[in-house]
Amino acid sequence: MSQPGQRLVASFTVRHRSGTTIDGHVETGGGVVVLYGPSGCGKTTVLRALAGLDRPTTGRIAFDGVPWFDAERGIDLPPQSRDIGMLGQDLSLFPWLDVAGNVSYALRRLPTAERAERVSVALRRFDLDSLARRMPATLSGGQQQRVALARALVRQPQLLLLDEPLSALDAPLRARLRPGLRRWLVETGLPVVLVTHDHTEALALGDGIVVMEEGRVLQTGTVAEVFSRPADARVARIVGTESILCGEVIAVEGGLATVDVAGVRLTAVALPDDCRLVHVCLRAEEVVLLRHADGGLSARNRFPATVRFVVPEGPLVRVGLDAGFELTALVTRAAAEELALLPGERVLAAVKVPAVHLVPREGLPPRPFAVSTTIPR
Amino acid sequence: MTREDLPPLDVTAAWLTFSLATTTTLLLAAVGLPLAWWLAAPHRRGTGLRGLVEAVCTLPLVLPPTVAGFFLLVATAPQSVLGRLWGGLTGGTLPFTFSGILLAAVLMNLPYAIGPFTTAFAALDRRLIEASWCLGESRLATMLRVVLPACWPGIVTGLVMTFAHVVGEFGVVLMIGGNIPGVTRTLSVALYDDVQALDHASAARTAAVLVAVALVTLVTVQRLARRPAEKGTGQ
Repeated sequence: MSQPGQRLVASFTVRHRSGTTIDGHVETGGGVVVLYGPSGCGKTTVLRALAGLDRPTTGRIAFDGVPWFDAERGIDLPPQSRDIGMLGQDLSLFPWLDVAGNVSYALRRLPTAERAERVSVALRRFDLDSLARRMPATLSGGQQQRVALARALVRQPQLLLLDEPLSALDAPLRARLRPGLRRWLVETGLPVVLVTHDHTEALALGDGIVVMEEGRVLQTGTVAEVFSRPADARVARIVGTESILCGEVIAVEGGLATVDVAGVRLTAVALPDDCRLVHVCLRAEEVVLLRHADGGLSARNRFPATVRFVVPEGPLVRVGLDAGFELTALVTRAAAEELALLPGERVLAAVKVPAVHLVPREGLPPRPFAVSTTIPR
Repeated sequence: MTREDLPPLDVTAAWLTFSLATTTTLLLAAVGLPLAWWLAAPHRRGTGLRGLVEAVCTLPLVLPPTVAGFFLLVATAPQSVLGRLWGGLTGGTLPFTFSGILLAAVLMNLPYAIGPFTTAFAALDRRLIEASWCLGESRLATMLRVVLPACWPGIVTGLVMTFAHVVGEFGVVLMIGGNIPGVTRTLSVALYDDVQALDHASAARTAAVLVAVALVTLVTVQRLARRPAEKGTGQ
């Protein structure tokens, strides 16, 4: 079932006392896997089971071939033996220790000199040098998060688990910290499993994604795959019908960015930060389809596309397009008939500049990212 | 009245009181901390048993000391189950001995230790414990490095309150220990004895010592109950 190069292979079921069961299926060889779904869908339970804090009833968890949990063989390693870095939603800094004390907490067995060296490297890396003697309660949310990250990473774990890492922060700060967090996560070179219910966070931080609802895994794949091609209507409802494309900012002028997406140049409102690699998000309902170039249309972004499929969805029609990249458009039935949309037909797709959303993506995954795309049942 | 006129403080009684209070506090730390941890833990089963244990631990608060003393006296009589067990183990008896008043003091002071301990443990954020486990620290190391510092104020309060209360324990000590100098005669009993003998000067001196102990205790609690690390944060 597992592919070569997978380091974490987990497939298990956790049964809660209330009777609800939660399935966990996570396989990753590296990069950031996002557990994504609405609140209360069981993402945190899956993360806690990976950490060894919640015990599954059936299934297996193995890392680098070492069984961490195996219901049949009666194996259940405690969190202490799993060598993980775990960041809970609330960060759980020790309030009676200062920043340096928190960061060095797990290093007490090291010789003093080595411990001091490792702590100072970690403090420098997370820009905490000047805060070393401060108490956690006196720090801002962003600073506390950096301390928690430093504390988890300083002991060099082999797997990093994060539960809603940005949820405790206010929205503007979240947006500002996302690229930095992504950069840190990629720099560690560790496989990361990250829980979030935030659409933008999944896009900005994830390489792979596991979509969950009511304790079930609905779809797994790369972020772009899953967001662009939801497996079914349930996934589409959770992730939204949106095309997520990998793009590269090639020019910024007058607040507008020119983004190259598989050879097609799109114009979008530029990001405040200087980011070269971006996710380009196009909502299906924002994509306009035309038969011929229409001089009266104001949309700046126009490009030819071939119709791949046409699927009726109630009063609307979902149109799959190939424009050098995959794109989905939602149009009314009447418009579909008027345009005579059939697979293989050539059309012109148009998107207004403000409808092209860019999400920064600092750093590439450490190696070609792969998650299993089959959903075990 | 000159200084020489004052009868000397009953040093034997003072020493005995100090020994009793210290030993009781140590025993209650050994028994009370694990018991309170169990009482405060989020249990799935055994809530009935837990309720019973909690009630028994709180009982001394509402029971008149003379009543408790009477039952203890009956329960520890040489012919009783406990008395025979104790006799078999040590060859001695419990009533009117130091061991007897020690047992009484431990039982009577259960609520003063268990109460603050349990409150502190129950208020502890379990996610801090889990964070420590995930950082590779064993359960025992987590106890020492997370639970103790986090619950420090409650633990200190429990220990100091126990000590202070044993110093003032009277009814149950008199009931089970009587008034044997050097064996069961504590300062509180000596005070009562002085007043009975109309020796008000000696009584005043003993009372003053007891007041001083109580004051020092309260100040100690206030100082120690501040978490060590919270001093000097400049807040």
